[in-house]
Formats: sequence, structure tokens, C-alpha cells
Amino acid sequence: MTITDLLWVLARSTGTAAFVALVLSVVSGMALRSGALTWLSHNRAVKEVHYLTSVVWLPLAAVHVIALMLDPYSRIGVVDLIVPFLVSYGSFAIGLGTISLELVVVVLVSTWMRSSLSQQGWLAIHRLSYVAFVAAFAHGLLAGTDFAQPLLSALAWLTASMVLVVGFRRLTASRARQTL
Amino acid sequence: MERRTRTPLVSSVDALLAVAAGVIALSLGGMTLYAGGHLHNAGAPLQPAAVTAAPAAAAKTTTTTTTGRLQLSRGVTITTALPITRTHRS
Repeated sequence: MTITDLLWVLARSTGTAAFVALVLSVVSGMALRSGALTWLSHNRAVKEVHYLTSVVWLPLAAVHVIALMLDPYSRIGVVDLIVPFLVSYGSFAIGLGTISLELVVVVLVSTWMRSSLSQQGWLAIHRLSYVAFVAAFAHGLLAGTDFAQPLLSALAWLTASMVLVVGFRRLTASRARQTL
Repeated sequence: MERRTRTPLVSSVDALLAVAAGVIALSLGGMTLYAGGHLHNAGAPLQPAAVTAAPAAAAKTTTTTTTGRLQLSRGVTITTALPITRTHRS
């Protein structure tokens, strides 16, 4: 196996693992308010999982991006990391990945700066993670080399459905609180 | 009336963290093994090489005719540079 092959394998595996980490982070985050995971564990444990998965996502996404930048076959440059939709091929699919990456980084940084932000401001930024998730899912769907594999495809759609279900419960729980 | 409280499936914080870390590690390890065994996927949605090969082939329209010792070559160079024209102003 050559270095290029190794980079390619690394990019694919970390991309998938970063998506899994993002799913767990979004689901655990939404379950904190709605109590959708009370059957699994108590809120303190879910909160710890939310924090862990968010932190674990960062190195996985970083390795995914660095491996693709170093791989001469994929021809992704530093500019593509900042400005979306500039890649000469699959610009929309790869651009969605760039948008997702930037949004999650903004959400993470805002969390670390939470004490210097207002609650409303922090919440508004934190809600960008939903957009980031949708962008990451679409990025995987349109650009993922292994997404067509039945097992991976089933898992990805299953996790997306899980996010939808927990999101719906989060929304209904929030509405119920408002009417009380 | 006594209210029944459900005990969660995983009561320990560390256990739930281990499960979450395990799921991520499993996806990372499993995908590494799979991608290592299947380096090339012809059905992948993005094929950078195919995109670069097509314009390169289209841009180079050179025909070569060989007639004995004489080799004739006709090449058309395609340029994207704008023509430089100067307009005389009186």
C-alpha cells in the first residue's frame, strides 16, 4: 500500500467516523431537553456523551480534511477548506462538506466561549449544528465513496431517521413547555 | 399512590461514555478495514480523474499524418486569453 492509498483509506474512515460522532452529538444534544434518551441513561450521562462526541468529532474531521488535502488524486486545496464550491469536480457535494465543517467549528468555538456570550446568542449559534448535520449528511450522500454500500447506506439513513425522530420529540417537548 | 420510576439501561456515566467511544471506534476501525480492502470503487459518485481526463483530451486537437519520410503535423492551440486590441483615439 502506497502513501496515497493510505491517505485515501484514512480520509474515508475518518469521514465516516466523524459523521457517526456528529450524529451521536446531535442526538444526545437534542435528547438533553426532550428527555428522549431517559430509557438509556440519565441526563448527566447524556450530557457527558454530548460533550465527548463533539470533542472527538474535531480530530476526526481534521484528519479527514488533511488526508484529502495531502492526497494528490483528490486535488483539494487549503482554499477549499475555507471557501466552499470551488473544487473543479463535485463542487456542490464537496462544498457541503466545507459548510458543515465550518458550522461545527463555529458551534464548538461558541461553546468554549459560552461565558462571554449571551444565552440567546449562544443558543442561536448552537442551533447551526442542525444545518451542519444536514449539510454533512448530504455531503456523505453525494460525495461518499462508500455510501452506496448497503450496510453503510442503511446505517446512514437509520441515523438520519433517528435524528429526525429525536428532533421531533425535542420540538414537541418545547411546544408543550410553552403552552404550560 | 406510589409513583414507579424506571431505571435507565445504563446508569453509569463512564459506561455510557465507553459505549459512545466504542461506537465511534468501531466505525473508524471497521471503515479502515473495509476501505483498505476496497481501495477503488468504480461506482463512487465523485471521480476526479475522469473529470480531468475529459477536458484534457478535448483541448488537444492535434492531427498527425505520416507520409514516408515527411511528417506533417497540424495543431490547434486553444487559448482562453483575451485578444489585445488597441483602438486609435483621435
